[in-house]
Amino acid sequence: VIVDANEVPDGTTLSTDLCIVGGGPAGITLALALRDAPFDVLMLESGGLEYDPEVQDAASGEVAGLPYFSLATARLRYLGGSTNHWGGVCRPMTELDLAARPGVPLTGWPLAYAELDRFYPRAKELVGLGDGGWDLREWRRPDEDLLSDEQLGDRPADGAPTLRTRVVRQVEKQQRSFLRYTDDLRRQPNLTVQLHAAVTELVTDGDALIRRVEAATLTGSRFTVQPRVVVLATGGIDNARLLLASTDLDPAGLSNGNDLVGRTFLEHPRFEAARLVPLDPWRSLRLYGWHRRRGSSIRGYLALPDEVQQAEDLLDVQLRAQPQPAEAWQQATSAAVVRDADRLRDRVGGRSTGELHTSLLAITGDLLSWQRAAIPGAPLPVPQPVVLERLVRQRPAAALLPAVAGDVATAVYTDLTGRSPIDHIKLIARFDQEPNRRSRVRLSRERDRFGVPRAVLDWQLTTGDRERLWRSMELIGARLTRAGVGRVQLTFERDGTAWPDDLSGGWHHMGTTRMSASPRDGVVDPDLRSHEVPNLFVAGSSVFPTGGSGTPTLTLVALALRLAEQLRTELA
Amino acid sequence: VSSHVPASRPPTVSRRVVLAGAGALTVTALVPIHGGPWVRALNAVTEPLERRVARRLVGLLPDPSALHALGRRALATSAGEPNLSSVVRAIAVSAPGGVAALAAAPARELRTHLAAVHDRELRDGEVVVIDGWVTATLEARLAALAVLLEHRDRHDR
Repeated sequence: VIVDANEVPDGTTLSTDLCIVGGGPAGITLALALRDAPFDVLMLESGGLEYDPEVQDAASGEVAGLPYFSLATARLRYLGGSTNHWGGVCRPMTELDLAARPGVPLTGWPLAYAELDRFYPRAKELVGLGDGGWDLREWRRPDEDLLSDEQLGDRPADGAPTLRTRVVRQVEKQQRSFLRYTDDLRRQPNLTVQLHAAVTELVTDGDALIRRVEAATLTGSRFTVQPRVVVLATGGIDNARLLLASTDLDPAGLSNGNDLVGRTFLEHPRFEAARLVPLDPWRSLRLYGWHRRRGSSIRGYLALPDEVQQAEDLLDVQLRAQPQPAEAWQQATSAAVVRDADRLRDRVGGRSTGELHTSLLAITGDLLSWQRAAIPGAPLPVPQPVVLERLVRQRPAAALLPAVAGDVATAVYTDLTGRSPIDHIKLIARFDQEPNRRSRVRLSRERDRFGVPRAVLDWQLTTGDRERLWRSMELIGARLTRAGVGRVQLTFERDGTAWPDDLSGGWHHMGTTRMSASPRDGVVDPDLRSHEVPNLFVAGSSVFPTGGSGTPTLTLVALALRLAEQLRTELA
Repeated sequence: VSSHVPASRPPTVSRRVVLAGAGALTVTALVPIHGGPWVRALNAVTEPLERRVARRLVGLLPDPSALHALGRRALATSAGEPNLSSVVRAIAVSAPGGVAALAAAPARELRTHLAAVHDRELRDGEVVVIDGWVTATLEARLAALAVLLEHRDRHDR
């Protein structure tokens, strides 16, 4: 059932076998996976079934380190959690992501890859991804990426590993929010979801087990849950925040004997690291933008092969190729009339059924096939077929398309063919930062309306991060030159302490309750159980020891599925 | 030319220059060696070995002046104080037999050797970054050599 904690009388004490704190993707996955378990599950979610600014205010906090998104909106506090604004981008971790890197301290997951991999198929279903995997060969067409088959291979003809294009997939917009599991949760016989129940503290009563979970509501009432086992699943910032705020056993916080809670905060930093000037300005880059293929949205990224990363002691870097069209094409495709046409197309039914877009495609089809001399009543200026023939057959002449055919026709030509003359290609790097104790979540002196200290995010990168990115970009630049693709100019500084102004993250909050084999190096063990509090488990990306090349949601869902197996044994 | 590049120097090497460099170092683009046999024979008795080799190497470039901007920046950003001899010797490290071998090698062999070094450097990431441009070490050295040689010739005149 789903109930509202605002209805729970002040001072009530509830008992449960398993208390899941947080109704985001990790908590919901866990609850769903325990559907037929022979024990009671109680989920405490601070929000309701929709966005509420009063509840969301508890997410506000300070940004003290590198510039970051406002914490007020960096994650969401209602059922479904941050999947309610998730971009839906998915890629699993690789074996190399989990491997220790000799030159980078605190790397390596204490988990065999198979332990994660066996849960990915179900995780893929739960996040709403359709059929297919991440193998580039499943998705690409030979004429639409930067590198040839041979160049893309792990071992091309001369034996030298070169670049790879990796595929990243995107969940359809209407499938992304885990709020869609509301009815499944409501119908689950062993589950109670308490909405509007903000957990304020985990209390041990002086021993090494959590005895009470204290919660508060917007109406000011407070109640207590007495659990056998607690799973903390409130996200990469709030998992640490709640442990740090739970001080009845230790003023440093719960499960924080080695001062690791909140430490090693990881993001996937990104900024424009280089520009590529292609030798052929007409290269198709369709693979490197979001596009649909066999019912899925996919996008290609450039990356170094695993063996190069290992040989050079690098962490993962992936590059998004963002073509910058030649000026006339840029003006045409961003013209007001094109934006108006797009808006109109959306208004009349969108890409799939919109008559306008269909018409535009039909007209452009005519432009390309030059089978019709004129289109009576066409909304676009349509040039003579003989001119069009020249345009599509000769690339230099095609550069004149904006002048000859007008802005809308140019935009549709680009959309349909995936081609336009490129001035240069921005290479936006997203990289795996090294675990760094100075990068951390700590507590503010200010408290939220429930009395919990607000979070302070002090995100930091290291000189090692900069050096590894620089070396990766050197290698990628050299390989693109060697492949005859073009020349690469790095656009950030190797020396100095400042990071580029466009540095940002991916709303990926990881590492603050890291998983480790030894209590010295982490907060939870490979089973996600606290090293110090035996009835406390942590779910979510806060347990990731490193950020890897994957995206967090798919992997945190896989880990939650694995945790469900563990808890069945634990609570049986 | 070292891999050290000072921070926050505004980019000054245009992409036209760098793209020209890319074409200049392919095997097919390398032009027949500068001057005829009699010129080489004359140079052989009047010039130091390194300078003769420099002239041979730069003569392989279809348009050495196109690399001058890159060469000037390569020299300006290098850690030491490179001169013509030191750059030639650095290039010769890759050749069995050193500078003398570069001086004696038939033009075709020299072109093939340089193209192979260029390709290997790009494959292995033996590059320098000049005004942000990722450049094979050999490419930067040849560009520097083109500048040093022109400077030397102007000085002699």
